[in-house]
Amino acid sequence: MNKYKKITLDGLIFQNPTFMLVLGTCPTLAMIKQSATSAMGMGLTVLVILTLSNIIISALRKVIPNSVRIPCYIVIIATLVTFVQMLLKKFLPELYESLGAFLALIVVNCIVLGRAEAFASKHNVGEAAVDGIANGLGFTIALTLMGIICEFLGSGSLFGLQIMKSFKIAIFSQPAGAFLVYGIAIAVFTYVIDAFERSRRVKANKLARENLLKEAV
Amino acid sequence: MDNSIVISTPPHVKSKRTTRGIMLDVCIALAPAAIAGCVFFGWQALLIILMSVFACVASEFVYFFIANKGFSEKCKNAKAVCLRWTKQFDFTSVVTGLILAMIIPTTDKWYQVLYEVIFGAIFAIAVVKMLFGGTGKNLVNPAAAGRVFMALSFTHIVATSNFVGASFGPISDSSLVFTDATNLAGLLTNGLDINPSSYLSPLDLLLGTGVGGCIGETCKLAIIIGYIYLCVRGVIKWWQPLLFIAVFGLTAVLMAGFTFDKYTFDITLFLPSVLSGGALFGAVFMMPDYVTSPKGVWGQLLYYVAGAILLALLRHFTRMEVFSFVILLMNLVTPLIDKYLISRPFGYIRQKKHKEGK
Amino acid sequence: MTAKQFFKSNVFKCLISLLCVLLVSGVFLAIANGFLEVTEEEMFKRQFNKQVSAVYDGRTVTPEEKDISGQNTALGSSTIQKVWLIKEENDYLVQAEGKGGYNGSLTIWTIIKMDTSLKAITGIRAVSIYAYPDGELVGNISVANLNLFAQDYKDGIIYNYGDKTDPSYVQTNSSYSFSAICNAVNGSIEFINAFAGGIVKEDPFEGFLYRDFVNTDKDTKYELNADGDVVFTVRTKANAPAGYFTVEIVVGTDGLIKKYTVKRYGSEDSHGEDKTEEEYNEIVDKMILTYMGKDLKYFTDKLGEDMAYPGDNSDKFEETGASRSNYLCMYAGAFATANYQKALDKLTTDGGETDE
Repeated sequence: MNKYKKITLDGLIFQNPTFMLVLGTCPTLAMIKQSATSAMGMGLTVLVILTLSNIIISALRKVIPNSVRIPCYIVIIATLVTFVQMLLKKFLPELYESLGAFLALIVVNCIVLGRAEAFASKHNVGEAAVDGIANGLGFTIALTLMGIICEFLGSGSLFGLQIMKSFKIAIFSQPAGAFLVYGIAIAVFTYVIDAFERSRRVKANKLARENLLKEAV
Repeated sequence: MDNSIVISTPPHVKSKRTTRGIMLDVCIALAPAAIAGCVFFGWQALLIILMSVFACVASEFVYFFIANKGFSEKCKNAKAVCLRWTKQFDFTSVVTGLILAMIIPTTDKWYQVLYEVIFGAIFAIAVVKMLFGGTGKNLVNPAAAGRVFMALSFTHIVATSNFVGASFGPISDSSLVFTDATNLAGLLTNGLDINPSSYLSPLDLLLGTGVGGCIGETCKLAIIIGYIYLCVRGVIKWWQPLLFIAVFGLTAVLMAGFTFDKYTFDITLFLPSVLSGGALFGAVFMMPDYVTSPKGVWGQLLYYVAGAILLALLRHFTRMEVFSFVILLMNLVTPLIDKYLISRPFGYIRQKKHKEGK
Repeated sequence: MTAKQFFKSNVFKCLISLLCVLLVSGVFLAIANGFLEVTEEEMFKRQFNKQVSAVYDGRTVTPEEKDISGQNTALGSSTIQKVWLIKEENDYLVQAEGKGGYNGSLTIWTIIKMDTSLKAITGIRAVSIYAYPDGELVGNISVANLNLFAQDYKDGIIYNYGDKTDPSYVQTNSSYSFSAICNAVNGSIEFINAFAGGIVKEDPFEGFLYRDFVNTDKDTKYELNADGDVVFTVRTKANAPAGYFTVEIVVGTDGLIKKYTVKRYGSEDSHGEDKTEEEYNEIVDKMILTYMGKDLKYFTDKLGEDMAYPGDNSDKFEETGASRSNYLCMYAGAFATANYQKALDKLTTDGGETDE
């Protein structure tokens, strides 16, 4: 159980693919400047594909020889993306339209390939699935948060609901503003995580010192 | 006794100059242009200038306060942090505020410009200057970056007029006082199926009477007064703006001659090109900024010449006032210039050929 | 290596595994495609429901496609692609392609309201964007902008919202796209007028010669005056550095130029030559005096049947120092005299003025 908890926390927070590992920045920048709903849509799509690809690759990890693993992974991921593309086009056409060209780009999204290479090929199916879900959720939450900020500042709306009629800082609907928000978000996130880790370390040190004193007595 | 070794305590090179002093000099140099702007554009211009300066100083203060833990432990340190801020306050943000205000136009919706200038100021100071390390460490000119930010975000600052040339700076129909096409617009839209108002005489351009544009850049005479003051006080080198203006004017005249299928070299276009738009203001106050221009003489030469040619080319082809973008571009190239054009080390004094005592 | 060695080697294993993965993926995708494919019909139905049903407040409507193969579907700046009849509402849904967008042509759906006899247009119900080329900034065109078509409809209206020089210009920051939409809507109206009502839009300048340098879209017109002469008001195009001229030519019953007045000098836009505007205008005025009483033959003698511009210092026509301005004036003269008879015919058969 502890193992799964570690994987989940790593994927969600401490090794968050967007803020800490800075992977998959291309769809990030493209989607957050559109709207919060498209950002969330992209995140959820990546979540699905990531989990499925992790499961399949983890299941096949003993079968695929080492030298051809990258082409095999790419083929598997591309198949999954095409399948998801067909599904979206049939059942969720609005999401399909808002993702546009970036749906096909998920094939080479660093998060998907990176997790497949680094994690799924070395762990069993259960762990790989949990890792996929955790990373996907981390990506989605990061994207949604930044999408909310960009959408609110850029067009005064929240998930499509117009809140501020005329107040818009239009640069946040463009890639430049998305870059700005992304950079500042990474800074804030890192600061928070650092503070948290520092306090945890301080507490651990205090505990260790007390234990040492207790033993000495 | 061998007198060739001199012993003294540091500092070995002293000067009366301080950052604060230099910034105050720049403020004084900007004063004529600011006053002229207020005279031409009314009390709204004064309000915008004040608001811009206030916003810049406030954002610097807030950033300093947060970064120096003014908020920690329930604001126990608040007073100490405030005092520390006032002690180290060099007037750089005041200068940034002034320059930022002077390169935006007032429009008839001046109240909107007021709150937009706050965002521009916050971006200029907090993001471009403070996040990169504070005074002396900014990568690009904060006022230019703030202006670009405002232009991209608040589209009515970029004029939506019928004249292709009158955007990003000089506004034609929503300018507060003047309703004719700006001179820059007329100059740039030659040959189109529009009837531009007759070109303003260079004297008009010089004095800024009857010219639409941004607050600080219309009265060229005031800018020239500021330039002379800065040269006298030794803040900028006299040849820098002159070189820029000369190269820019020549290139602009060259480019303007390319219209239609006959090439005409019309030297009389030199003065109007140079005196229209924000070229003079930027050349005097924004290009020679110490932080964002190269350090060595050769580097500076390259910087000004390249900047001037780029400005003339872009103005000709995009028919817009793009000086802030050009400044940003050149600022970004500056580290490259610094790296490859070796300059003198700081404090190096060239040895005289004949040494004393020999 | 021997066959057995080959089959055991790494290379073979790699090949096999890669092939297997490819095969399985291919088969899987083929099956999925079979189930999940979206047909053309379904796309249309989906678009229709999304864009059109909202207009009808959820009333069920069935579009019935009309055959337009015999009609003239290429109308200037727009091409009609498909027409549906919505019987329940007496509406025509026209899918038209409007030229002039920033990156190409936009495909627009226009719902045109008809009267009960399906012959006359009573108005426009809605306009929506069906398809647009990549990179077109249709996000700048709001629903309110598209509703202008429904609000502003009048009989015979031509929409010009995207034209910056037009008084009805509406600022959208995507004026090219908006112009293309206007073109599509105008084309749809014109087509339905012809298709349903049998009204064919007349081109007042149909069959006219020498239209190259005459701006027939703007300001150019002809009318009869009290003496029975045809008064041509010709707005030429620009011939840089000369700007456009607007001239008024009165052609008498003998086909000769009776009067030639310049209403707007194109020399206003020119500079760079070593003359002032006044000097140019003087030259033009002098030349115009020589056009009085002339007919088409005078002009074609100088410049040839096709009235082509011979170049700045050609010996084909008189060197004046204001060659391009003069050329435009001569061209306007040729236009008036050449088309005098046709204009007269049109005016007398239509029984009144014809103007743009």
